Amino acid sequence: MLEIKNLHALVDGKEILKGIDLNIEKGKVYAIMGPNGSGKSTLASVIAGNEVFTVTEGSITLDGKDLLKLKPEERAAEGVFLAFQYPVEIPGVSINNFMKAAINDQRKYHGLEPIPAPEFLKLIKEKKELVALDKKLDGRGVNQGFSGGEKKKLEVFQMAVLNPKIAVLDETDSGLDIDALRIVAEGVNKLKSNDNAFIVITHYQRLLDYITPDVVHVLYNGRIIKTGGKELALELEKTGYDELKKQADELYK
Amino acid sequence: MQYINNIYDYKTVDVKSYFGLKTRQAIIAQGFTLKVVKDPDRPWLTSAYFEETAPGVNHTVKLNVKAEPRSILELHICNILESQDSIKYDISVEAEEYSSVTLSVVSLRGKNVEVNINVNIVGQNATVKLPGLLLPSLDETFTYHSNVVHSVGGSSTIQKVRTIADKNGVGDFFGIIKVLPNAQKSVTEQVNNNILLSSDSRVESKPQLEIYADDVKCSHGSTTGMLDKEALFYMRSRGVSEKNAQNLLLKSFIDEIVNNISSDKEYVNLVQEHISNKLEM
Repeated sequence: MLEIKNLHALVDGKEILKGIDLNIEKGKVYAIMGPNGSGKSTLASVIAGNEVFTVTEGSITLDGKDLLKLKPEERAAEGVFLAFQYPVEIPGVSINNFMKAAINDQRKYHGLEPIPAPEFLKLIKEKKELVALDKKLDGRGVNQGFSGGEKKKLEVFQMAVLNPKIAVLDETDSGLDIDALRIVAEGVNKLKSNDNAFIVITHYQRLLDYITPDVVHVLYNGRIIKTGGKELALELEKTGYDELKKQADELYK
Repeated sequence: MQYINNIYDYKTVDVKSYFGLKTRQAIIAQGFTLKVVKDPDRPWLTSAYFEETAPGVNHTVKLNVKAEPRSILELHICNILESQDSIKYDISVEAEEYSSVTLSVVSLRGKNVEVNINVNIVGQNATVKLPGLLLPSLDETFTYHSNVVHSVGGSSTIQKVRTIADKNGVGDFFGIIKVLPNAQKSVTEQVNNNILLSSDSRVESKPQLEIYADDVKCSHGSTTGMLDKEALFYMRSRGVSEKNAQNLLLKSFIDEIVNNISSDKEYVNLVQEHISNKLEM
């Protein structure tokens, strides 16, 4: 479904991604692990179309469509979703207004009429329940004054509302206590289907106790240096990245 | 003449000859209308606003307003002039004890719009609100100068003025709040926030606070910047178009001022409509 080939990207003239190849299939969960500064968040941002990064080489296609030619909003309408590591606070813009704008602009992209109000309200209510979003947050702006846990829940809520084909979760587990982690993971598990796929970026095995990956990739220094099954994550938790880093440094000297 | 008893000295308007009485609710001048609304059920409430600015306006409007003890006064200025026209206001307000004054300024269209406000708080426990919104673009220059003096204590002033400048537009905020030695227990808040939408637009911001009393709570601040790029990307990554993402951010910036500009919801809706037109939302 999502194919990434030989992807190179840079920011401020510094190359962060140095040739990434990924083939994401429907119905599967992919974990991307790796030490700090290996390029995990850059990969997520590049897939979503953040213009801060420049793609110098390679391609990203979703069901054959060239994503690199599309704006961020067009990629979203094609089914790409990025759950941010640091969700942005937007004071004064309510969650409902934000979601309505997102849904209607996506519908417009596909030549559809705006969503009828009753249908929208039903959808919002249902998905808020899915992630147990606190009702008292309704009156605030998007992420405004939210705790770390509430921000991440709101990311999963938005993902549930927009129902993407491919969702990238950028360290959604960071800053979460164990209860919030469980709610977020349950939300993801409920959204999993044979028609979508998830890329879960994480430092730790912890999240993967709740969301079982089909494939684990290890990213280091802008390259994928190891691929395995879910047991790879467990192994890394025990051994750390040192040995892999050493091998990779040797290989790409 | 009872219905305008809180607007005194209106004959000092230097275009005096243009003034005449049209209805019980309005004083008409050439080029603009100062609408004074008196609610018979609430005789202590005076609401006034300038409306219907006609072509060819190029003069100074002077107005002295006195908010009598325990009265509520609302004075609203919304400038929607033709692109070649200019206007200047010199407005003085005297706030007596327990009076509540709201003086709002929304400048949307006009070549040069200059608003000078003087507020003298002479009575204790008066509440003064000065919301303002300037949207200069296409070579427009909108100026907002104010001088608020707390002569006696226990009163409050809240001044929030915001500018969105685009396409060679210039916004100019210069505000002084003075708290004199006798004005203990004064509370003042002054904030000027500005957004520049294009590199050729410009704002000047000078919030100033002079405090001569020692038991007061006063703050002032100013921010100027472009639209938050991270917030724009965040919204676009959800599928919101660039234009709509920008509009949502601008609308939230504006709404905080405009939603509370007047107790008259009809007026608020009208102003919002004009703002949407101006920003092509």
